[in-house]
Amino acid sequence: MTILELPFRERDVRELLHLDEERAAPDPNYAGYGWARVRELWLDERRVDDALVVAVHSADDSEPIADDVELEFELPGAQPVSVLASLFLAKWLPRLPHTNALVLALCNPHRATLAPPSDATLYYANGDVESWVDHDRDRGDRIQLTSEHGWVRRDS
Amino acid sequence: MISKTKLLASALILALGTAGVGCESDHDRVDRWATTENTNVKIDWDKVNQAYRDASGPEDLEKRVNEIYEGNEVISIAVKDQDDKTQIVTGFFDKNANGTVDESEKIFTIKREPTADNTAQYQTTGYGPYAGYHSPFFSIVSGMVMGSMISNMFSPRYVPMTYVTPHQRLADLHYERSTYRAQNPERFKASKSGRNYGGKASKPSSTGRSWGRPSGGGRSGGGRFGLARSGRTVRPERLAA
Repeated sequence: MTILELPFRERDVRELLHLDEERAAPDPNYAGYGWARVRELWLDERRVDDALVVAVHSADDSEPIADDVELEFELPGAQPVSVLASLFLAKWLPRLPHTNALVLALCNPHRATLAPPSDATLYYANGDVESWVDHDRDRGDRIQLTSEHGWVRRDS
Repeated sequence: MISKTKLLASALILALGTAGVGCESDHDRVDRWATTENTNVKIDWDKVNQAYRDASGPEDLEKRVNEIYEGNEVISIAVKDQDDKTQIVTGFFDKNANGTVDESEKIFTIKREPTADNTAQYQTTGYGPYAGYHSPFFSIVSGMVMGSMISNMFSPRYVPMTYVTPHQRLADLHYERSTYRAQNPERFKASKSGRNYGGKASKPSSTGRSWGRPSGGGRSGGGRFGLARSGRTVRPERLAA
């Protein structure tokens, strides 16, 4: 299998972020991945407009790398595979829509420093990342990614 | 030319289907997607009944059942045969991890019992949050297309079976199911229950963060974007191109 053969595809943002059913807390066993384009997204308390959300996973026992994160993908009927985030993004981003912001929904357990892989502003988190949706009768639903140790913004 | 075996199998499949439909009441059809106020996780009983019919053994059945179940818990399976080839399969949440079926952990039983020479029947019953579900009696006839978990009962060398999902296997089942769900996202769409947490205070996340409840709404959790992999000894293959 090659990186571009991974079943990484566009999904509805609620499905992608596992928000398509109500639950009291994020599912720690969620393993879905893919991408979605959103008009608005909240990274903790900061709003980001016109974002490409790339939802991927790192493994808790992933190798610490200073400037990269080892991603892991579960596959149907096969053992999982891993890919370095920098390589994965270099392969896939040219095939995805261009947006103002690129948001990685990705746990970054070793607080790696990631470089913007395109001319979009890159947002990634340090530590754990979880997805939530706030329901508000007046404002409507607000989709939020929360970080354990804050978000990093990197302009190209 | 159609062989006699194929004709027999076709006739018996038809007989099974007819038997099931013939016994099915309106009540049974309504209960196909049984839910109660205690849970918003549905079980497709038709698929559970089919899984038992098709399973090659207890391990295969527990894999099939966990793929059908849409909740977060892993369903353990206990199988106990009796001398007359009656078999009781129990699905349960092994909450206390003691490897035995406690009454409060039961979610369903499948009872298979002989009815005459080379025939039998089985019925599924729900418990706990699924109490009230009773499947029709499904007929089993020697020679019909079915998995070996059932068909073995017609073997002259039949050996009574006893099995309980080992607690150590729960992690493997969870992992296998996560993989299955990740690759079948269309099967796990939004809940139709309409349930929400708007009236309750938000729980803090697993990261220890907490937030105030937004006005007039609630907060619902999604997923975490890391995979728990503690204790494994084999690393995944790393793709380089």
